[in-house]
Amino acid sequence: MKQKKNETGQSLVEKINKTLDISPEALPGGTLISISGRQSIKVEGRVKILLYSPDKIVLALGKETLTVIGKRLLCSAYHGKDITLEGYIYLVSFEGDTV
Amino acid sequence: MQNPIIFLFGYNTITADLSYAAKILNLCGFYGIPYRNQSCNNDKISLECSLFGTARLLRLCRKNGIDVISVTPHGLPHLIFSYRRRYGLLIGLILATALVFLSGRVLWDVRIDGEVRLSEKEVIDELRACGLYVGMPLDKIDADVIQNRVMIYSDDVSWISINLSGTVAHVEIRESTKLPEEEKSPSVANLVAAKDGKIAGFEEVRGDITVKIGDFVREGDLLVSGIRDSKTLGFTYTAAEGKVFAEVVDEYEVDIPLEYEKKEYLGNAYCEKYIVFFGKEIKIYSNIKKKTESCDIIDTVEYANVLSLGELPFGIRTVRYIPYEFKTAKRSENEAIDLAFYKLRLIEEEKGICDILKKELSGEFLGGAYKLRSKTTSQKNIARQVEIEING
Repeated sequence: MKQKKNETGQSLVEKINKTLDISPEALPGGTLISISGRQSIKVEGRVKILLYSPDKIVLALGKETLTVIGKRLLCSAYHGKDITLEGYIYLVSFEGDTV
Repeated sequence: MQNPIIFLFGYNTITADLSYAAKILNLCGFYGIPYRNQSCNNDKISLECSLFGTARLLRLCRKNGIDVISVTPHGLPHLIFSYRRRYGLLIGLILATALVFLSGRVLWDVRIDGEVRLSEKEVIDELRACGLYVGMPLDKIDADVIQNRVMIYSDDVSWISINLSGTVAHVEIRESTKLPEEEKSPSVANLVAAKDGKIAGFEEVRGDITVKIGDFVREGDLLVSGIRDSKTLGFTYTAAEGKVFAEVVDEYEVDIPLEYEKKEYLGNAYCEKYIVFFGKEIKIYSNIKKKTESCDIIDTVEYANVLSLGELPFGIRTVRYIPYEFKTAKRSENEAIDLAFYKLRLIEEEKGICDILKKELSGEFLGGAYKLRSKTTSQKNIARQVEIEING
């Protein structure tokens, strides 16, 4: 959804979230990312694997990408809209600009 | 340790190049194909899928141009498929299942306790006659009825208890006590001579002795009378008893032929083998080409005994047939003489000849045989009690 930005740089979605105190992942296109220590990341939402290797996994989250760098990375579960990555995680980074 | 459910339904390990990893995982995620144990090794990705999931995934891989390196099957369906031509295994599995099912429904063992005079085999035979035997169905065992039958029909058992524990019948018995039969002694009797002889002595005699030492008596002669004429009180009666020793002459003759029929085994033995299972027999082997009439038969049954748990109700019965024939053989003169003396000794032991006073032996070869004659003078008790009836 093309978001209109106000003068403060906040999008309409962000303004609604803040006013009504709704979790962002509850809205369409939302993604929930849970990190458990350095061993596991669970991504719930529309997600697709762009790149997979034991050292680097790149996931597409709509217009953004999530990069996980680590060691012995595995995709232990992937069904529907949920994906679980396991291994030894060094770095988790987001790329892409929706703001 | 592998999940038994997963092993039961089977699974495949799919291996592909690491460059296809993202595509394969996306296919699994998008189409909802569950997988497990995903791993990376040497630029290869592998994951495990169910049989149905494998078929779907392979179809999608072919459609999307993904080359799968290998598909390795695992689990019970693969195991059964790989042994599909081994019909014996299937038959064995069915038989084993049937045996396990049936074995808990029949009586395996009968254990006896409390027997003193009776042997275990005799008790088991009695129980069999009354309806309890190894191999019978457990639901047909009525312990009360069998107990009553045994006590009614058996003279040797005064009490019995039958308890079923699983597939074993524990039988406890108490044998009946037999009173010794009272010997009916006559009220009036004489002692007469059982053999001809010369009187040598008397021992513990009751009655009137009618002979004296040195007298020659014949068989049936009165030795000790049970009737006494007291002249003043009339006749008195008693049961004469005691021992009257006499010198007795016994003559024996032993005839040993020099030619005789000797049993010779032909050297080839035949056998039949049976599997004995709960009293039933199935022949499994036989190498008898033709039955010979003259043969010794050795029949043995060996029951399985595992870990000293006692005899199990199945085993192997072996019947061996050893054919023989009679052939004429000759013995030497010395052998004939030795055999004659041996047989004479056996006769003397059988007749109970002891206290030998004199023995005369003579032997000769006559008509193709060795004849040994023995004339033995010995001292023995010749008294025989004879009951007499008194009228009035």
